[in-house]
Amino acid sequence: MSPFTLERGEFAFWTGDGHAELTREGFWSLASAYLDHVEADPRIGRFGLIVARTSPDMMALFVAMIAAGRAVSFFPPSSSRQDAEAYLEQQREAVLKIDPSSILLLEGGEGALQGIDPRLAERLVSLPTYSAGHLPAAAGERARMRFEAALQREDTLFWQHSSGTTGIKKAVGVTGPALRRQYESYWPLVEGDLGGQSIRVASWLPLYHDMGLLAGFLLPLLGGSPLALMDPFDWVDAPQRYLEMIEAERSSVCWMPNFAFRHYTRLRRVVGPRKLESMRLWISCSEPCRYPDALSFEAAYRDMGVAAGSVVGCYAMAETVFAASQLEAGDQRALVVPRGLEPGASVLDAGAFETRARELDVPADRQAVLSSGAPIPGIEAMIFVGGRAVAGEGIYGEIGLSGGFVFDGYRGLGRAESGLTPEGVYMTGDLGVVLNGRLYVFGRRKEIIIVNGRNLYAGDVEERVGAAKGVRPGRAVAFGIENPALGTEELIVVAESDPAAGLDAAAVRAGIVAAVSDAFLVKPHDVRLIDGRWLVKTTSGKISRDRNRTKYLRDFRSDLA
Amino acid sequence: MSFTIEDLIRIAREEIGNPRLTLREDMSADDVAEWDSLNHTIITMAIASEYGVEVTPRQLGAAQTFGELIALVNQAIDAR
Repeated sequence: MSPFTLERGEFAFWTGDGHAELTREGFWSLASAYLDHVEADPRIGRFGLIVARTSPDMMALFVAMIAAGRAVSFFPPSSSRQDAEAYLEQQREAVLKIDPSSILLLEGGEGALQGIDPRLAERLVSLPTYSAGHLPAAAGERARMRFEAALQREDTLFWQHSSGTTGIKKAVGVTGPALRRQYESYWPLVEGDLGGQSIRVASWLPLYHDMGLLAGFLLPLLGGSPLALMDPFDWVDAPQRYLEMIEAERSSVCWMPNFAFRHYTRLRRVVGPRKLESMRLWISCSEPCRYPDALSFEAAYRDMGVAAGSVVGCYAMAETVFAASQLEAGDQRALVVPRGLEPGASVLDAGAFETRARELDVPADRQAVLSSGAPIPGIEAMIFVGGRAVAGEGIYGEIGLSGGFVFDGYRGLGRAESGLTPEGVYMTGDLGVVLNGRLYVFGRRKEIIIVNGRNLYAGDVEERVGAAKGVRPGRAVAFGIENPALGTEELIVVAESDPAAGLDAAAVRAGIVAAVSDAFLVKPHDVRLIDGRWLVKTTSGKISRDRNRTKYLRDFRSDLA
Repeated sequence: MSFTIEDLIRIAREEIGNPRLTLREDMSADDVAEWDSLNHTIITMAIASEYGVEVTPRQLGAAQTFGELIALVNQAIDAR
């Protein structure tokens, strides 16, 4: 008996000015049309990269590729705000590294990519878009059955690129069994937490990110759960529309990065009245979960039916397909912990405490972290200090995960290079603690900066900055600073200017902002140009990110003192 | 009723949370570190709400300068 419910669950696609329904039957008919096309087109090879905005067609094409026995991945399209040339420049390197057999574009999508690179131009394949309502319903059976059969495949069904939209991507391959184990472990848990109410998902998340791809597409698809979707660009332009969608579709669960909760709290004053009581679970995921932002969001939207305690934390990543842990409904709790802990410290000895208080004053030298709950079935979480697993609870250290749907390594990298120990534990690079069986995630290796849910590797940013005009090559440092006002990190760049370039400071700064924004779709919050004596180096002569961060805060950010 | 650079500064300072923020009509969002896509949406919605006009982030995002943005808002005010 199939564990999946592929034949049920309608879709609703919401745009800035309208919405359309699609039955599950209609979706599979659409997928069958694309399956026929994929099998008949010799240009479409083993691995297809779909570049498109969220739509029924791009989702149907995704499952059609899997049904056809190919591997597939989504890739971020250009935004209306982005210069086409800058988009090409940014994405050329990433696409070359991904190295797909084919770059699959839906009608009209090829315009921006024609000039991408002669090495890639020959891989561009433009596919038609279909009107789902005019497709024979009976045809859907073929795609659905082929897709379900493909879920047994041990080879990679699809690739997730774990670095979001950064230029340098790490690819995680997901097999049929891994996807099945994630689904069988996580979806019943979500259903249980809804207390008898059915899963009705509302999502604006990008499908090229694991949270959107799994929680906002594949898991609802497998579970027969109704799914209402908005494209993320439409969400940025009209976030209030997402609340309208939740009300109209009677959605019961959503996943959002922490910054989105803060964003909605800031928007409360200008958002019109909505009825949101159908939403039982607001799952905070993808970034460290900040308890004050959860409380503020619940308070701001209480009059619209958002229940106290309905924001819960989830710890997820592409390396475990998606969810690794989640806080149980009704168990909302936080850890108030001093900042600046070193790995190996006992959080309780350092004065940390758990709380379920609805109002909380958090001193500046502490942070209140929403729990990400217990590991889901099939996942084991351990804390490591100095490469050794720590017995017992309460010790701050690196989170290591093992289990049946932990990946085997990044594409093109060995297991050790991918952070896997000989015992099969994935060393996440995230720092946290386990208390009373629940995970609290509140730190990371210092080279990763998370801005509005996007992971940036500081080294990648520094490389871009170092190549900008007016900057001495190799003389730049990038780091993140938590911004309580935004509920996320600020990207800070400090760079040594090169007077020989003949540019004034404003021009150099503008060039850096443009280079970083174009490459990573994140604008630096602050760009500081300094002279040759400012940057602090380690004893081995390397620029110290940590020490320069401390110096920056001391010299330039008295507002954060 | 008209929308001025002083109004834009007031709203931007409030929504971005920087009381020392300074804008000029010849500047653009690219010149302001805190003016990212999320803050742009919030500022647009605050303008729309306060002045009772229908302007979208995409419309105001097309302005090359804050001067152009102010002109777009005033056009919307006149069209009410």
